[in-house]
Amino acid sequence: MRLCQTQSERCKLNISHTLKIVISSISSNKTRNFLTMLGILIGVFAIVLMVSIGEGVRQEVNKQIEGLGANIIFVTSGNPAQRTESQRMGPPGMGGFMGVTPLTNQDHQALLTIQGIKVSPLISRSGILSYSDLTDTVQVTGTNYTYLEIASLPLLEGEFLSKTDEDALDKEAVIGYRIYTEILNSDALNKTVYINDIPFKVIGVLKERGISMMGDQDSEVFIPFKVMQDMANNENITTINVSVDSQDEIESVKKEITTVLKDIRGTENFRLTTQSQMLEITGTIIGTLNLALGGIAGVSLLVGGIGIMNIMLVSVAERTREIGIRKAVGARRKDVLWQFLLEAIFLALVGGVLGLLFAYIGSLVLKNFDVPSAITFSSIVIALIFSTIIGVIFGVYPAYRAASLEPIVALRYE
Amino acid sequence: MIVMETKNLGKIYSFDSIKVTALNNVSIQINQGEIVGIMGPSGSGKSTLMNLVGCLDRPSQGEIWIAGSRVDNLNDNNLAIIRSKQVGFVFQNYNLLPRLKVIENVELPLIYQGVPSHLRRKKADEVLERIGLKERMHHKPSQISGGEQQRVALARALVTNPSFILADEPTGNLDSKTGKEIIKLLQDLNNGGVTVLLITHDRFVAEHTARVIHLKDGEVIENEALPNPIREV
Repeated sequence: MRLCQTQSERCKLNISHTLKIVISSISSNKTRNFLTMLGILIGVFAIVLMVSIGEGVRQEVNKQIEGLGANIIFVTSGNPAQRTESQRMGPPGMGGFMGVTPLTNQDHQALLTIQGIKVSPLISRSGILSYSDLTDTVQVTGTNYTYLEIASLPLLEGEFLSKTDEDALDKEAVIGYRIYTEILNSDALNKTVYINDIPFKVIGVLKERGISMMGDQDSEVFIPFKVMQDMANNENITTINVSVDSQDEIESVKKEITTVLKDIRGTENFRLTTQSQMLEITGTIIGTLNLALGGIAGVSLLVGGIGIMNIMLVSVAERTREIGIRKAVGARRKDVLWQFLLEAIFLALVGGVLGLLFAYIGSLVLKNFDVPSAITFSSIVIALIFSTIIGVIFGVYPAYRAASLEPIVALRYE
Repeated sequence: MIVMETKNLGKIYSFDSIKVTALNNVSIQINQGEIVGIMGPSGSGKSTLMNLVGCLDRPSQGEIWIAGSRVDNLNDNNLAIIRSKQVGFVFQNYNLLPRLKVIENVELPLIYQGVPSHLRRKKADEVLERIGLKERMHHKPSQISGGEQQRVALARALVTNPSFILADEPTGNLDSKTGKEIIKLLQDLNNGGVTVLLITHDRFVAEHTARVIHLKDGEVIENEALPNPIREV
């Protein structure tokens, strides 16, 4: 007599039969199993949507940073290494407010001595713009003619600040698209607007640029930086943008800037930031954010998994007699184990696929509301793998309980 | 040829500190092609004996030999294989799977033997034909009568061509007319060469077999040959 079957026979798990049992068992308890799947559905939906929003934000921010230009070095005051304990309290870039020596016209002039670069100073403050009886809060940026090229600003009509720094003392303004349409009623050139009650002549209008991480770019007003300094009654500059011709020159120019500024400021109390550094920093921040959002959503998936385990334990108890019958006619432990495990995986996987589908629809809806979101291939794969793993983890124990039932005990079960 | 043999078989159930001897020193032999009744009152140990020789449970002492191999010391996996290949169960309450159709219930043991689906269907078809239930093959158990359900259970037991059929009170849930039909079916199968072990408390049912092993208080008290068993026609 042959006790053991051949390896191939033994390995042959009848997938189609098992699937048929799984489907028939799931469809015989539709409401219960739908509610169980709902847990996984919501979990996967939440994870995929959260990660897709995170991914959308990352893509959007990267686009904007890349839009700043790859070959720009941002010079700001303050260096963490040089700060005193009290100054360290403030955020970076706020040096001017926190007692760190701000950048001034002297630094700007010094940088102009470096060959082969373009330099534009930036001073940003919010201000009140009024025209006839309309008033609005706007972002006022003092800069010079080079900024048009460095920031690739799109002109709708008129011209940008075109005069050299020495001559650019007239109160002229270039306005953003929203100010142009909403305050000036799309007729702006040569009109006089008041910024903090000082009259400015509109010499140019920018095309629509949208919202960036710095704020609404269409509510921005550009004026000559020396005029801005007169209004503030100091010579401070928030940022100096230095543009080089190619990325290869960035390191050498950074060294030159450091030498020049250190010479004039006496110490290295300034910072140089490049686009790649900004990408790196925002990448880290958004990555952490994604992990946190995904983690929170992951909790709901965990709860969904517990729901599966609960319902599978109920199912095993209800079908104890069935397990006994199957064992009496020759089912081995692993046959029973697989049957219940596949059922749990099936529940989790169908829940996962439905969750993915809803997340996809959710992402389309969010796009309609201008919320950036992007479902990546990896998030799909991760969602499916995760829901399968959830099915396995929370299905193993009930399946093991089923497989371990003694046939005689299971057959007697009422 | 001996199909099944027990040697000094014993089973003791322990409940906390209390020990109950359900079976003691039972040695029986069942030969190929025999139809044997195992009879005894409630509590005599006949169900325990059936569970042991059906490999559903393990003895506390003694040996069980099926088709020439010792099986009492096998692990769970190999016991499942013995049940799958050597034993055909027929229970008092039929024990069909309610969600499966008649034909699928009959195919079930073949699935666990790894028989390919077209062969399964062919074998199940043949057995249902033999039992006279072919026209009911696509019904669910709830859609057929008790007698028909017991015949399906018999078909499921036969489909693997086992060494013996173990029928535990197969007429217990049936009216006397349907019960007689089932006994006739068992007798017909036996005439065709199938070894049948019929467990019953009913003297009338036992008298349909050629030999009756009487159990009392877990021990064999008589091994009675019946030269002229009742024949159902």
